Amino acid sequence: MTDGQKTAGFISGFLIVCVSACGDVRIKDSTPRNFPTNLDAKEAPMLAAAVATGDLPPLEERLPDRPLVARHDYAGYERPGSYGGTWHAFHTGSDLGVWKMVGGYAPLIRWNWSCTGLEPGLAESWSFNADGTELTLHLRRGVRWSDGHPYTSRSFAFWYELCLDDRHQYVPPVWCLVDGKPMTVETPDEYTIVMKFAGPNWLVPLWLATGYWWSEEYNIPEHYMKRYHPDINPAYTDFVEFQRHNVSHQNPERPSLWPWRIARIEKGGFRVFLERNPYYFVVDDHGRQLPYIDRIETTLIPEPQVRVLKVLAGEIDCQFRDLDLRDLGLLVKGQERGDYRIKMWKSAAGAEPAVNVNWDDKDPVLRGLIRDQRFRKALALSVDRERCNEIAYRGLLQPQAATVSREAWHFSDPEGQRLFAEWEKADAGFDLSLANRYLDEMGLVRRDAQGYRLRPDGKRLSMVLDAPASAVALAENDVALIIADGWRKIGIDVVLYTPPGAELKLRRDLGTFTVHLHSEAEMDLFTYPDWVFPTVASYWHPRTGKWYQTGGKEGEAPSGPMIRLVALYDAIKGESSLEKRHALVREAARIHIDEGPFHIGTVGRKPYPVIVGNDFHNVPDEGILGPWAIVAPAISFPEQYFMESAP
Amino acid sequence: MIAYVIRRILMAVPTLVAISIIGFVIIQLPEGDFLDRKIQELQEKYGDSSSMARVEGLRERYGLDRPLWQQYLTWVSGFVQGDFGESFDFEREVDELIWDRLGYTILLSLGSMLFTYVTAIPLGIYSAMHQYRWPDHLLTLIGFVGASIPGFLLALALMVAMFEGFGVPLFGLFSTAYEGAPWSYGKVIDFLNHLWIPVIVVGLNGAAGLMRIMRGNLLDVLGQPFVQTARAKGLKESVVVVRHAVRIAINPLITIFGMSLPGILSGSTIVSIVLGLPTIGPLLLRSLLNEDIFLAGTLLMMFSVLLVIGNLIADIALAWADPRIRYEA
Repeated sequence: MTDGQKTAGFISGFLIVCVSACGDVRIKDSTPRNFPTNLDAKEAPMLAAAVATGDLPPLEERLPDRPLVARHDYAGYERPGSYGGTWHAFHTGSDLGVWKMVGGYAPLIRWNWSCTGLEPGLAESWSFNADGTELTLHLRRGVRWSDGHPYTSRSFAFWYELCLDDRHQYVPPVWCLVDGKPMTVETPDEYTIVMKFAGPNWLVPLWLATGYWWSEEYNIPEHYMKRYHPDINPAYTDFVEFQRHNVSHQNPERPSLWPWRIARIEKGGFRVFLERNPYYFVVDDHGRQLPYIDRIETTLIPEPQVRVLKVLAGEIDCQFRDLDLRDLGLLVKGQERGDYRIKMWKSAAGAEPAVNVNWDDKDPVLRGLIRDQRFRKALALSVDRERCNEIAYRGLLQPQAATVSREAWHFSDPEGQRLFAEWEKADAGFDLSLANRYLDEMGLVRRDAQGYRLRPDGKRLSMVLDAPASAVALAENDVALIIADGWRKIGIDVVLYTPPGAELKLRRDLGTFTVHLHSEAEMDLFTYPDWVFPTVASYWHPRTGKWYQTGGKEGEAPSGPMIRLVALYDAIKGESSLEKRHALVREAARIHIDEGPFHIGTVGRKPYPVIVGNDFHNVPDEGILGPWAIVAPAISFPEQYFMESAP
Repeated sequence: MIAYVIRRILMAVPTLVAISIIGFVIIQLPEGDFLDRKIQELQEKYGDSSSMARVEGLRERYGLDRPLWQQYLTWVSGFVQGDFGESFDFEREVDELIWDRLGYTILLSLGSMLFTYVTAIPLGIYSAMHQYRWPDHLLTLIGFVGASIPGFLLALALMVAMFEGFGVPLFGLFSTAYEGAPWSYGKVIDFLNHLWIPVIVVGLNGAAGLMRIMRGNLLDVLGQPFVQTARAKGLKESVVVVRHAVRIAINPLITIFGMSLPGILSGSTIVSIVLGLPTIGPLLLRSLLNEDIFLAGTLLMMFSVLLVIGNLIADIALAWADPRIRYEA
């Protein structure tokens, strides 16, 4: 054999090894896909086995007197499921936020699936006194933590005692305060919580139901946590260990009220294993204990393209967030091979993104211009929304003015829908000549050598547009370029500013920007009002919002229409009738239509692909994933999803 | 020789101190801190103020409100005792995050280095010995193609081809079934099955380049008088090449080897991102983007230590292999 033959032999041998090695790269997950039909069983076989060996008390002792019955009034619900299976999913941050939106929602009061109101959760009922200063909650009797210890009113009281203790990071949340005075909490018996406020506080039930994050805070297992409390256990002198052990997604030992409790966290948090909570207090129509699915395995995948690959490879059973619309074509194409289907949910966003023009701009000349409605109308009319849609979102969105979510409960009746439709269309055309006319009318007629208009003080009319870099948010960056293009056409010079790191956020919070972009989706303006009412230092009203937030100590007092908007929100907080509260929101929307735009729309209503394995059932056909406050899909009771291959 | 080594080691200490200070400052140079970043990311992703309700309270816990030098001193004094601090992003001890990844990274890089040298040196020699004949032309072609295709592009192409052609998803270092499972025979096989693609992808650029260098060097050396002498003595051609020529021609490769040691950690970064490998590179990138200072700082320090050690080893190896090098400063 010559040297040449030897080398060639080596190369081909190596290639053969490589090729044969790749043949079985993918080792199929061994989880059984065929489950026994066990529709007669009232509890999961794995729990029944534990009961049989005496490791677990019987079902009747684990369920409350009147368990919560999961509702399934949505399209996509098929039937009561069989027990078993492991649900593979992914998460993108160590805080498990995306998972908590699915299985981390155990509040006293819940948002209902249609987001038109509240329904019972851990509390069976609640009522206010006549002037809204006292809220009484009646808890479900016999609910237990995942370790079997009873859940009582002490949990809430213990949490609130922590809030009033200033030796650590826990503070009373904003909804516990009326005029800066914290509420008091009384627990006359194990199943009653009474909250007393310094004035009317009608919105509290909404706050109790909103997001997974409040219930996560106020549902605290006193019987477990008190061993880390320095007043109870002299081994501790501070709250460091207490705080560490109180983080639900980091401590598998901390008892839980979730449908699945965390069983194990792999080193580094790269994989989290959850297992059914044997004491979960929710049942299906037939009184069978939920959840149906035994286990959850969720993997931390920070890289977006790896998430797509996992889906294409059929390794994900059901996934609700963190897939990009840009990958939709690929996801659709991969359905057959990956053995999944796509259900199109929606972001329900009114603007992707909204263009926030700083009402409180530091430059007095610019501020004068921005506070002139004609100027803002000119800016709105020169945004080519069709082009934004085609270029940034492949035509999948809807060109419109900047609004909150169309599905928001404030606009649910026909009259509300008419108002909302008007809002969506307000100044949402593309009309450069009208825009130019507005600016000419304002007297901005002089131009410099490059054709840009001059401001009243003789300088070039130039605005800085803050936008995320294309590497951070490609679609928003595209939209920014199109907006800049349109504004230049009406003689306004635009400087795009895309700083790295956290500077964008700082400029937003401090109010040092002129224009910035931000996606807008909100279902409930009572609890998160700041897109419409200037009540928080953010969006288009950084300094007016600061003024409201700090009770007039910082920021700037409201001016013009802001005065009425702020007054409307104050009226909402003091209003006992839900109908009248909705009417006040509509009044504010009317101000936005007639005297706005205060923030300018681009495109909205983004579809949101949801991945559902072909053996995965009961997932709603449609839902809202944009705003987190309503905690979808948790409000659909994902504990009644089940896995079963077709017979 | 020993004095030389000791001197080199002592010189490394101030270098590392300087790197730690500069690195720590540069990581924090962008305005704002990790939590600002975190909130911004949530806003961009979800467009809803409600999701970041309580993030601010963490600032104090992580000491981000203290002056920079205090944060640095806390970190450095912990670092020398083996306490690398906590990663804000992962809410975990840095210690817990890096060792597994470090292991995979080193395995992957050593594997691809091995691949590089095992293919490049023999092929380079072979190519040189058949200069301007068809095997040389073929290898030259392959070499240029290999050197000019970026690793990430090759990785992407392989991924698409394997998925479209065979339905095999190429990512990660384990199948789902073995991820997180304890080590077993099956897991090792599964690991090796996943390892070869990144090994080749990462190693290919280097292999192609090295092959060309080896070929060029050897051709230079083969023309020199001492090779003629060896041939004139009547030695077999293989002995002439391997014993006499290659020993000299391989010297630059040792220098290159030393310089590529820090690449053990960072070289596979882009390919790792594309293929979703649990190595150090993507972790460093993420920590830098997020201003996750303790994680980024720890990784930077490890890279620096490796660079210093790599240079040291290269110098020693070269001194050992080439008698012309002197030890005086």
